[in-house]
Amino acid sequence: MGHDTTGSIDPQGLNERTAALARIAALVAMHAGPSSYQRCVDRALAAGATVDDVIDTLKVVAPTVGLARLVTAAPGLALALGYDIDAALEAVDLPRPDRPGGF
Amino acid sequence: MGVVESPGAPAVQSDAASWFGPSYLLEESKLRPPTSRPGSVRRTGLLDRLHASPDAPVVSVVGPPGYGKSALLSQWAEDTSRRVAWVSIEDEDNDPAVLLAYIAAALDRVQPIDVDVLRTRAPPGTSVAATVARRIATTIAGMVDPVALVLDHTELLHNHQCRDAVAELAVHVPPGGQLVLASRGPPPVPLARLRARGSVVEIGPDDLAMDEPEARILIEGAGVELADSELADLVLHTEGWPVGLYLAALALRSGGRHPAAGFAFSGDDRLMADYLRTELLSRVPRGRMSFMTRTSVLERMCGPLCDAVVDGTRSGRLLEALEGSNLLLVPLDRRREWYRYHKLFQQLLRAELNQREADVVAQLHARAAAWYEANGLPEMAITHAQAGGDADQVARLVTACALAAYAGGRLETVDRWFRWFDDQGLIERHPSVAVLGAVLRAVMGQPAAAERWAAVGERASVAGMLPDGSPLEAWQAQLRAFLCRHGVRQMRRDAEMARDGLAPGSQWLASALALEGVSWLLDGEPERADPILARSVEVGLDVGALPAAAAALAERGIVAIGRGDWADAEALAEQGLAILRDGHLDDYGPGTTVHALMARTAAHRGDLPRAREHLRHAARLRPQLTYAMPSFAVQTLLELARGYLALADAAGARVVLREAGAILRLRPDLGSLPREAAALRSTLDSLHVDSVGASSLTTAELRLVPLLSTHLSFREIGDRLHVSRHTVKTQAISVYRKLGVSSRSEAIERVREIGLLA
Amino acid sequence: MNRDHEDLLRRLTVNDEGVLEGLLGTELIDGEPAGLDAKTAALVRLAGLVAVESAPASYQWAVTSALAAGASDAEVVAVLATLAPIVGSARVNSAAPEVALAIGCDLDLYDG
Repeated sequence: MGHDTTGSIDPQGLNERTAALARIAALVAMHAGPSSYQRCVDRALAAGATVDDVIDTLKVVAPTVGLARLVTAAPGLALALGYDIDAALEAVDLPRPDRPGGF
Repeated sequence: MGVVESPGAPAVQSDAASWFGPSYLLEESKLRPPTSRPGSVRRTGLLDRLHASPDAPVVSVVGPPGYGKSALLSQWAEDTSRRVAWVSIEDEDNDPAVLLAYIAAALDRVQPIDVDVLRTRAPPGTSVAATVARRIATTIAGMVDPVALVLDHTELLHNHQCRDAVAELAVHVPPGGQLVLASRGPPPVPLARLRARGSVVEIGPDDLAMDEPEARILIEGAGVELADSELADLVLHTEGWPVGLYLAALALRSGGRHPAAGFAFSGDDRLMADYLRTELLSRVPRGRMSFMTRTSVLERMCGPLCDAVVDGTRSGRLLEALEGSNLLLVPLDRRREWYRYHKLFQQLLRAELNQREADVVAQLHARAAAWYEANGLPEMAITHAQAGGDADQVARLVTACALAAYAGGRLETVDRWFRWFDDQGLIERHPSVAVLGAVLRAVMGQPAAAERWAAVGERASVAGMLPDGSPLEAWQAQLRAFLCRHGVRQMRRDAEMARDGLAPGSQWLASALALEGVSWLLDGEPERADPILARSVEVGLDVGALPAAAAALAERGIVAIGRGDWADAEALAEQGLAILRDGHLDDYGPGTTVHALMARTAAHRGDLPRAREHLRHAARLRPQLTYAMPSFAVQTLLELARGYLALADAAGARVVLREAGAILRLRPDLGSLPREAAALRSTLDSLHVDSVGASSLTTAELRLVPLLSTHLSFREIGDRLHVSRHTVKTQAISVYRKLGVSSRSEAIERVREIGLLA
Repeated sequence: MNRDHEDLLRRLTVNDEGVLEGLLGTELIDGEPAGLDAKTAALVRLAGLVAVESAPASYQWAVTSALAAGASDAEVVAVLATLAPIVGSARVNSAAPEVALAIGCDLDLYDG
């Protein structure tokens, strides 16, 4: 996850960014719901974590918590990051005006 | 049909009118906008609006009846620089095959096209919306001049496939093209989506209502002069409803009162009807009135037909006179032979008829049915016979017309004819309908319906001949042979009974022979099977029972492979394919077997890409293989399994084997087939499954694929397939995974790439 | 969030083998895993997924690969029954409908 350069250290000895990412990892392992992800992701981003960091967290815990957990977690986590996967799976791209027939 | 002598035109042209055979008449008047009548008001304001957005992909004109939608579009069609292809939708267009025929004919009149490209069958249960829309869009895109396709009266479209197709087209109108829809209510297109893209121009009832200057022109055109204040009153009372204004003018012209102050009948049919009854219709001479109300049961009228219905002699002259006196009778052709009433007026007359002479309505319909039947137009007689209450006549007509309609691709039409019997609870009393309906449902892949109808059809006994001259027992035997409920031996006995009992020249003879042949094949006696199958092919070609001939050729191909004669097998399969293509039967059941065979022979030759192509084509048709025709379905699935094996696609082979197994569980006694299935399974056990890809799409998923290719939401798809949204979503994800994609758009592209979408 | 992230998350959601294998660094479905035949391995994998309570897409994937490896419907259903005493009926019950869907989808009993 890279060298920590952000400021504050919380009482447990972890800086906020690391703590937030660790919490996200736990959510993945624990079948958390979408609202939990929203809270933790918001806090992580506020603490200086980047989107890359969050995604990397996912990758790192995969072998440990199991791929199945990632599959379950993906939609909720994505939504917390602003990406509506359900919509992406259901929506059809509208034809671009420059493509003839749009098909 | 004509040969066009211009460079670049196809050498031989097929006319859409010929798609459905000689017994079907394409109604030319549907392909023309209503002619402008003298005295009709030019809607300048609205025309300017339309001309101001010449490039809008979709134009929607919405308003209750009598708002002049068709008239407006007709005026626009004359003005616009676009070439206009016009279709006035009617109830018969609720069959995708029919709707397509008219659209093809309309486009063909703009610029000669290869109409056969648009020819698509819609097997019940398989959505063709995406395919149809794409083909229309491609055709329009390929036309030299910018084209507008006008669909008038789209409120009459209630068939899901047709509505979905129009919706898809609206979303995919090619650049330069335009889709114009006129409808009484919201058009069958995703308006919200179109509005968001800014691709629709909408004209609504408020826009269509007439203002005073327009009203004045209309009234004066009807021969009435009004003071300004009286005109203002009238416009107020009718709220500018054009037909209301016109009818009020007619009433005033024949001496009626003005509509009383405070008497608003802008769109209220009942009040309008009351006003007109007292003010207009009551002043019409009795004889003429009776003529009009009685002929209002007809959708289209000509002199002789009216004579038959009203039991009179000079209807032709009367029609001419009526046409001259007002705008409510519309001529349908230049020779002034056929007419129809303005729809709203017809409604009014019908209401009058029901009030005055409700007891003769059935008789009028019966007379119309008799006239159509006597004049060689049995299909047109059907709706009248249904309204006339003579179920025997309907049965006679339907059994006479169904096979030809089925062969021509009008599956939805045929389905609807049979559903009428079901809805009326009449299957029991008409065994010929029950038997025929059972067979057709079996071949259309509707097993539960086939079983239900068969149960009724088998119980019955009736003396007399069926339309093809065969006794009922022969048809019943044929049905039993198709359904093969009691094993191979019984199937043979039934097929032989059918063969012996059917009248020579019967359309079923080829199928009976084919099933007889197959029974020998499944009993392990291919040498006995082959000559019988060969005769089946001959007979099939003779009487034009092409699907049966193609199926028999495929069976012969299976026999040929059995004796190791791959070259012969390939030749037979190719012959089968040619027959299917020429008859435009590519999407019918026998096509699955033919393609399965071609896959095997191609693989045997080492042409793996070709083999894969044929397997994919077959995959599209798999939804038609059900336990309703078990021997045929299982044989085909096993051939497909062998085809996949030849490509070392164990996963694909397993999927079709599983489906064969499901049918075998319901129909275990199918001769050698259970053994063959077991043997294939063992072969697979020793094979390593590489990956689970597109060939592993189950039939349920294959049924989903065409719907995924539309813009319908998962919930809407669920409605079409009678499953929950959750099921659709789960199945969709499974489809994406097997295709190696992760979004719907990617899936759509991929299925088209690999040929899983027509 | 960029396109790569979106792709990853979407492909995870559909239980795409490729992306999952990439994360793990190994093949998910090995030719000869630990001496188990393909079918047994697939059924064992399904068991694991039921035990950790997975998404419908994962169950679908596991059932499809079990069927592709030659498992019968009965064998797939038996996995659930076998696990009940260990993982508890609650977990089995939540997996059952999805497994049923995965099997049932493969058999086309649609009636037009």
